[in-house]
Amino acid sequence: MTNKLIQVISNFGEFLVLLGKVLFKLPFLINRSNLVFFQIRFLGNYSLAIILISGLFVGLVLGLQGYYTLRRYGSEEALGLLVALSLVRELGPVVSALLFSGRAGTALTAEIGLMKAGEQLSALESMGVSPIERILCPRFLAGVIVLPLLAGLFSAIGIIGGWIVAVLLIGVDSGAFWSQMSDGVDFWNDVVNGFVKSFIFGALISQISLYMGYKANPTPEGVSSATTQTVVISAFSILGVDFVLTALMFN
Amino acid sequence: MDRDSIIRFQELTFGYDSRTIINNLSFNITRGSVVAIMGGSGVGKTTLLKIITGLILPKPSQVTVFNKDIATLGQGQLNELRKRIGLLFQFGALFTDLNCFENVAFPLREHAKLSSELLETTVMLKLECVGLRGASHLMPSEISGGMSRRVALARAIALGPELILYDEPFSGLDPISLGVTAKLIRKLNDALGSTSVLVTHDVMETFEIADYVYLLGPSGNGAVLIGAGTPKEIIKNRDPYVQQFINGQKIGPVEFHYPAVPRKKYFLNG
Repeated sequence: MTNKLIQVISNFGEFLVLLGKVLFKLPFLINRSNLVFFQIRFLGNYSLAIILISGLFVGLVLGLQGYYTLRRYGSEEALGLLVALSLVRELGPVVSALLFSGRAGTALTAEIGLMKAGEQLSALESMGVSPIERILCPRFLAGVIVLPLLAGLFSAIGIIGGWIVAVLLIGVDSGAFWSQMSDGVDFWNDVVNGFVKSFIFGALISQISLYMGYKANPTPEGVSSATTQTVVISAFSILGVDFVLTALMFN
Repeated sequence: MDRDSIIRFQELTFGYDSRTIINNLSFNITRGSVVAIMGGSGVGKTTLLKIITGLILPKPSQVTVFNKDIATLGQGQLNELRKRIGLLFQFGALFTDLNCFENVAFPLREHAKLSSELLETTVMLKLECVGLRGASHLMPSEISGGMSRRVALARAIALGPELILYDEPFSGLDPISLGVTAKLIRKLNDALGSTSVLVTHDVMETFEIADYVYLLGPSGNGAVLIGAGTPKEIIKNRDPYVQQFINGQKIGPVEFHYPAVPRKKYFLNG
């Protein structure tokens, strides 16, 4: 039990050290911007379909469930506000982060774990090229940039889903739907807060995935367990950090 | 201390935790030669190569490469040193997301600012050396193991290193590629005026091309130097371990059987 605790703490320490190294090397990416662009395109494309489809369905369900509650108070017009606030403040950042870690995070872990198994990381090092700078940094930065964009798309398409249910299916007045939303959603308090959340999630997931791959045992079992760990640990830390951030943002 | 030695091991002892892997190793490798470090599997040969490149750090003042103490170099100096060393990994370790051309171009793109025409010419010349200019557009997954080893060799010599390290260059090659690779190592070494260190256990091919051979053998406490000399001297060496190793005999100081309960007792319930 104590050994396990020491293990966890020392892993966390290693995680922070690696994060520090990655952050320290980030400025060197100026000469390697093409690598970052490639990773943005790769990671973004990788998760785009799943984010859009899930966003649409989450919006549709929110519309229905919201109507079920709001109807009791006769305030169906507030459906737009409810859908937009829940998506922008909470569901957009969190659900897209969970999906991103399952889709792109695992890919990152497996890729880096296999690079390690194939001695590609050692090969880089033996050529005098830092694997952290060449391999980890571009992927980290790309993850940090991509996730907020994906979360934005998730929320946008979710709101469209909510509109489809509210206006087309239930028959809420379209004008009321949009005007309630634009009145009730505050740019700084809601949109920016959601953006900050997904920015932090992006850094968190990328770093967890990279750390897991970088520290994986270079064997088939090692890489597969590292990939599983990525999903589990990402999910826990997303939900935990989300609680802390929400509490802080509510003051 | 002669000035001509490019690598110096001075009473190198290395181990992980309580297990000693290399025990009190001292020898020099001179400039311009092809040197083979031989020994059975798991004796610590690859560890030795990783120590030379600083991928694993030894204790201070035990290993000197290019007259610099590996253990005391900072990251920047270590990277400078590594640019002068080409390391060929056992299975090539090509970057699987880049094609053969880009693999060879990689160290040049990282360390040398060349115009795109010059870069292309250099890369193609290196690939020509290993006979794979025609395969430059193929991905590592599309070529055979022997070919990827040769591409990796082209990548290792891309920067014109003064020291080339080969980790098991002959293992897993068919007889034709084996002979070709062996001659290539010798030819490259003489053409580039570099120094080559081979870590291997293929006796025949190594003895054909090596100037000098160091033979490592297991002892109770890590690997020790058992024999050293030119291939001819090694063949004449009467040491039982050396003879067992170069002739591949089952009977000798190294037991075929892993220590176990005596046969009679185990199989006949004695």
